[in-house]
Amino acid sequence: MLIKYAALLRRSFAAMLEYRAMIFIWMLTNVMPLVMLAVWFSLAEGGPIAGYSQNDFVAYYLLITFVRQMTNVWVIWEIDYEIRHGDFSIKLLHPLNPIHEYIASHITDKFLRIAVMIPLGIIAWLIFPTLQYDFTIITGALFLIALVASWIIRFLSQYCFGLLAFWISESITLNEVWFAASLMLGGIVAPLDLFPANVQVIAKYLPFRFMFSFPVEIVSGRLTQTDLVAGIAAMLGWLLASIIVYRWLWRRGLKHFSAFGA
Amino acid sequence: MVQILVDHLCKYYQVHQKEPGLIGSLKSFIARKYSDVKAVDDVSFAIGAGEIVGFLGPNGAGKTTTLKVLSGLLYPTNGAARVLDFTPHERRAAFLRNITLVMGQKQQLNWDLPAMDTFLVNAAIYEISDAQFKKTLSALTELLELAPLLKKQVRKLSLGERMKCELAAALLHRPQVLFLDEPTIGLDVTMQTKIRQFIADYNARYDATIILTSHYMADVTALCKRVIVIDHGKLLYDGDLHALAEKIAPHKLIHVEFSQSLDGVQLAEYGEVIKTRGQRADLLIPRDQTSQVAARMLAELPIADVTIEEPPIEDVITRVFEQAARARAERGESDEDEE
Repeated sequence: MLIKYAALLRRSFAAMLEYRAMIFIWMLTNVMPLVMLAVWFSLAEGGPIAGYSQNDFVAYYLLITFVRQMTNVWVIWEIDYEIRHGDFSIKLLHPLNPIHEYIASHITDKFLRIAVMIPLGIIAWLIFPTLQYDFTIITGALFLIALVASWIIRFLSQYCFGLLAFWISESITLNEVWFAASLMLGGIVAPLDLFPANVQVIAKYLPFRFMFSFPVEIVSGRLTQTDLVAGIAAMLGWLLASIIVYRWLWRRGLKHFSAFGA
Repeated sequence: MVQILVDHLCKYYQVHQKEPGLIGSLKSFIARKYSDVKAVDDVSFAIGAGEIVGFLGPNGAGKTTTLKVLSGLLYPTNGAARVLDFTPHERRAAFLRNITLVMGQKQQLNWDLPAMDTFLVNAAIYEISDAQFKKTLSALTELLELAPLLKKQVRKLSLGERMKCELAAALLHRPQVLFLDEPTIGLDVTMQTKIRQFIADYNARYDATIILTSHYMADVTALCKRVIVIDHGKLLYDGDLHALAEKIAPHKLIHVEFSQSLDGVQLAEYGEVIKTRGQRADLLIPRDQTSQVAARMLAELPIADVTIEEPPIEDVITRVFEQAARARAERGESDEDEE
């Protein structure tokens, strides 16, 4: 499997380098968190909102921008196109589950993004020298685990919507609804702490939190130990759930595809 | 040894129908109408190791559907298919490593990269050892004259060059069974000949079993001793290509060249005159009387040269489909197979 991944990564690197300018532009379009930062920054001018000072907003939004970049997923556009144009059949002829090819190209993308994010991070640090995160060995490790988990949850949930293209032609639209919900309830539009208490209780356990804001919360120093443990448990639960749903949909989808064609 | 076995295979699709225009779209949005299409309807055949079989039929006859069932992309509605003792739609790795499906209209090569990048990925995916990869690649490079193409971006290749690279990508794992669906589509005559020659070479070198579909009869006559003809999902003929001509075309073609002008000669009494051109003429003669008629002509007419030929295979095939259409009409079936 390692050899297969090495070959897939080499090829997707080569393919992406053909489009290096485009990747950079795509990255720049993912700036919604920064727009929200500007909004909250000006609102917090008169004093902290729900415990968030201007500086806290900067810390929160810069890191969630990083999380969003590092968990970026676009697989549904590829699956949808390939299923509807019949290119998916070609992938099915290979003795390798097509998901690995998509995973490989997403991993490649992360390497390129990190290369751009590091200098940007340094610039941000120079502009806001007072930024503070609660990075210890433990929270740092948990941050990385949560970051990988949120990528997997984002990837698999979008992949599952993509697989719906076996049955329906509106899979992308459904995914858009899901994505909008994840911006609202995943802490992009506003940190979850700013939501009314009764919404917070629900949002804390919905999958969206584990797609964006949870890694940031881990290093924000705002979570109690109980919150942290409950959050990790819920995150692992959603991780497992997304794997189970994916496997089930994949089996059913393949059966449907080979029965009806697509 | 039988490598491909198709046993009473049926594949029915449900397709939804939409009338054209906005009103049609709205109607179809509210109440979708479906109809069954019998893409493959009770087809059986068996193919042995090392055979090249031509798979003939007009567009929509069920050729591609059958190939998709055989390569595991579709599972049968009824009946069974076995390839190399595997059930294709289970898509086991050991099965997929031993077959390939090349569709002239689809491609697996990455458009933005040289073909070599895709070859390397396929080598990893198919778990081909380095030594084996080098050996197969150099054989394919030699047979297909790939050397100047391997490092060029695929989108910069011509259609024919791309097809050669597609074939190489599909054959790197050296499959035992090849399903080739229109591998020469859109190619010029020279390139068609090259691909054809390559298929023959590959078959000879690796004793591969091949099913080939093509709209170019030249592909089929050059490569296939045996043909399977299907139309509207039904098997019409399975057997020797030349026997098909004998069975279907009741006539042979006689070309005669006369040593003097034809004035006053009543050619019609020998057979059906198709055309005359100066001192030459083409006649259709009933198959069982060909030699007698030719002998009579030689005795009675001032003949310089005479040749007896099978009618062109295109005509024979066209005739097969016409007969099938007539038979369907007599049974009162419509042409669309709607239910």
